Amino acid sequence: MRSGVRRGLAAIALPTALVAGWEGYRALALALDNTWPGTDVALPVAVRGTGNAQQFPHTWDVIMAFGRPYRGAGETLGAYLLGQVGFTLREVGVGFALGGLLGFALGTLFAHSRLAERSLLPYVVASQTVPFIAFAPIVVLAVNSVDWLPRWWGVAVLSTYLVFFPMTVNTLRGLRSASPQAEELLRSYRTSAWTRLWRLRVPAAVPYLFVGAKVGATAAVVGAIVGELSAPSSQGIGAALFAFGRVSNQSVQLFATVLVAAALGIVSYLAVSAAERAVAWRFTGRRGAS
Amino acid sequence: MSLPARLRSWLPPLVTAVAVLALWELAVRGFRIRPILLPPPSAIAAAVVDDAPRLLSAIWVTGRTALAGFVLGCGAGFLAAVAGTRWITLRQGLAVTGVVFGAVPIVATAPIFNLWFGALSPWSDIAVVALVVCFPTLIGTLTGLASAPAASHELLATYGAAPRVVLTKLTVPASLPFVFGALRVAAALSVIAAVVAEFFGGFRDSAGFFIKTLMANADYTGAWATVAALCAFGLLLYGAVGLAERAALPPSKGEG
Amino acid sequence: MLATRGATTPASGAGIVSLRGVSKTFGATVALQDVSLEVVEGGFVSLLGPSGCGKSTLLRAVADLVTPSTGSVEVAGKTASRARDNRDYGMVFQAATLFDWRTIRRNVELPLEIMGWPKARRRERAEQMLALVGLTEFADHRPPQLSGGMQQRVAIARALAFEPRLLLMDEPFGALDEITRERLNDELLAVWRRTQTTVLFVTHSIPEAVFLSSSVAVMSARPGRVIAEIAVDLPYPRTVETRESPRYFALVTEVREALRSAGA
Repeated sequence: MRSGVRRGLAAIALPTALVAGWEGYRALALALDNTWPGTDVALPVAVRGTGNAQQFPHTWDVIMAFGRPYRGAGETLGAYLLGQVGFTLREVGVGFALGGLLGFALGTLFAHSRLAERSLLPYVVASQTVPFIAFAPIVVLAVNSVDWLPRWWGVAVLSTYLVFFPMTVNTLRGLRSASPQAEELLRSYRTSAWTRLWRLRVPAAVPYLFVGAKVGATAAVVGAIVGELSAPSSQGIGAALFAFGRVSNQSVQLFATVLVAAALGIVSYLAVSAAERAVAWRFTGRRGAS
Repeated sequence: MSLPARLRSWLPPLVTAVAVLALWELAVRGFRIRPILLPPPSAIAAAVVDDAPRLLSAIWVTGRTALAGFVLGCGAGFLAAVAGTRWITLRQGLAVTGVVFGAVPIVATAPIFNLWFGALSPWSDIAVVALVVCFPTLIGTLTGLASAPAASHELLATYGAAPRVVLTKLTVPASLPFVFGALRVAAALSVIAAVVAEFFGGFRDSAGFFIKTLMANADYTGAWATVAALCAFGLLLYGAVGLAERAALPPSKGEG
Repeated sequence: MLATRGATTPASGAGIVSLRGVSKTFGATVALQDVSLEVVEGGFVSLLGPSGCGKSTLLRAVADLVTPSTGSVEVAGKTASRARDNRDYGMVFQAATLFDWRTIRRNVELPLEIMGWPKARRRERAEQMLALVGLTEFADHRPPQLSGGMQQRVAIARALAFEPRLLLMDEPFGALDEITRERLNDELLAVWRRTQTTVLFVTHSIPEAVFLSSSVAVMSARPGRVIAEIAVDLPYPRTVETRESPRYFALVTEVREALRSAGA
């Protein structure tokens, strides 16, 4: 079977399996009246509720909800969420770009200076154990005091925080991956360190940079969503999740929003993957993504 | 490691820490940055001491959630990957699932778990943490299980070893470095995921709730203090994983 | 076609390893074609040939890691797979394949563990084998701390731990430098004489094959056939003087000619 066909089949198989599992559990729970058979003990996840307040809606209920208004007789859920996605994408894009550049710069610095690496790398690592979500309001405050920066930059900065770590680590690893023999060869041609960087080490680092970028793309989405939660009165998918989650009669809309958030993460990952397939072979001489 | 070598590895980060803290303190006082925005380290330290009992109990609550999610999620990820050694279709399916779900922002599912288990139940937060750490562990374990070289498998074939023997004596031990790498990542993630889940609506005594309330009251010093305490817990968990790794994969004589 | 020059096959025709008409095809490639070979008990037989001639495949057929397309393989009077179940042979690969997470001692104990030996007996045997290859003081170290040559010695100790009648070796010294290789040749011969195992040894080094063996089976390039079996009548124990003797050079030349005559 050709690999393209196989991949296409796998792409269909997973969602199909998930939907089948979802509907299967729903049917089973309803049949068993939400209790373990023969006992009074409740199932961990109960299927109950009606209309928009369903706790475990049918898959197609969720799909259909996209086309209906989500509040009274206003715009449809789909249109609303599309707008929110656009908003979040701005934050993701800026966060990814800034985080990527920062990570690349730090990684290059660490690759060239052992002292810098030993002094700063532990903190780069430690930075990821800090719940950055706590900084969100502070960052937003700080950003607001800069008049020419729109408010959503606060969230973008939070995205940056999550992106720069995988980019730093992978840039460092990638730059170090160039073979020492190749380095010695270039040295024997009396090239400058700068030339060696751009002609040897960066091209060797490209596969690793894409690994970091794929992790970073996902991280940027997470950062944007979580950032939106904590920055008050913001827009975007994260804000929508929070809003739908707080009330009890918008659960179907909540599920729809979660699907959109998941799609956002997957699409970001796929975008970087596609870029990798289009570009990376020039540097490695090999087709095929990781 | 000899004493001078040990010093050399500890000194730069230590110096950096001291330098950064000192600069921070001086900058806040010198530039008169509003302490609301960026409290000086001294204020944060004072807040930690003042509020220690409440902080400890909050960390304990969040820590329990993180730990429970860590054990459940990593256990599930590890076991699923091991099951994949027996059935190749399962393994391929798991690999695809791991990649796909690794790209999904799992924290977005927190409201759903609140809906199912109730916002005040610890299980809604534990479920989020478990899902977050499950996929990196799954991927790390899958990679590790595949890392044993083919020649080692051939060697065991010459002994006529049964598949279970190959698993316990070769594939799983070979996977441990990768598994522990994933566990270290999971340790850090579990604390963050717990706090985020609590942000979506957790019960009153958790660190996440604490932070949210403090922020709402513009008590940023208190929030920073909570964050500092959370960091300490995260590092503790990370260190525990490191210790477990040392116990499972002891360095040999004449090393480390 | 088999040209035997002074082969030492006994009149009964059955040695401890008996290959008759063995062929192996992988898809469209014929790796082995109609190979017949007898290995006498207690002998040291080298399989020598150019790269890709199928000598490793042949060894794996004996080890029951590869099933021949035609022909029969008998080891110690049983089929190859019964012999594997019975653990009648030990095998050493080109890569040492030691387990990095086990100490050297526990690496040697590995086959004994799988066979269910009690702990004390395992330990005792492991110590014996390590003494045999001269690595007693490294028992508590781990493989990454040892050099390539030392790791192969551990692999040999491990292969002989359960005292198999047959030792199969697939270019075990191929990854080592010449100097270490010659030293390990000497050690291997010493171990062989102590344990009196039969050895089937794959190599592409003519000097090594002649120095070690009682008989060299020369193989042609793909598809592999045994084109000559040359008896090596140098006396044991073989030392550095053996390597410098005229008879040794003559045999090396004879083997080289046999290889060239097959167009290798």
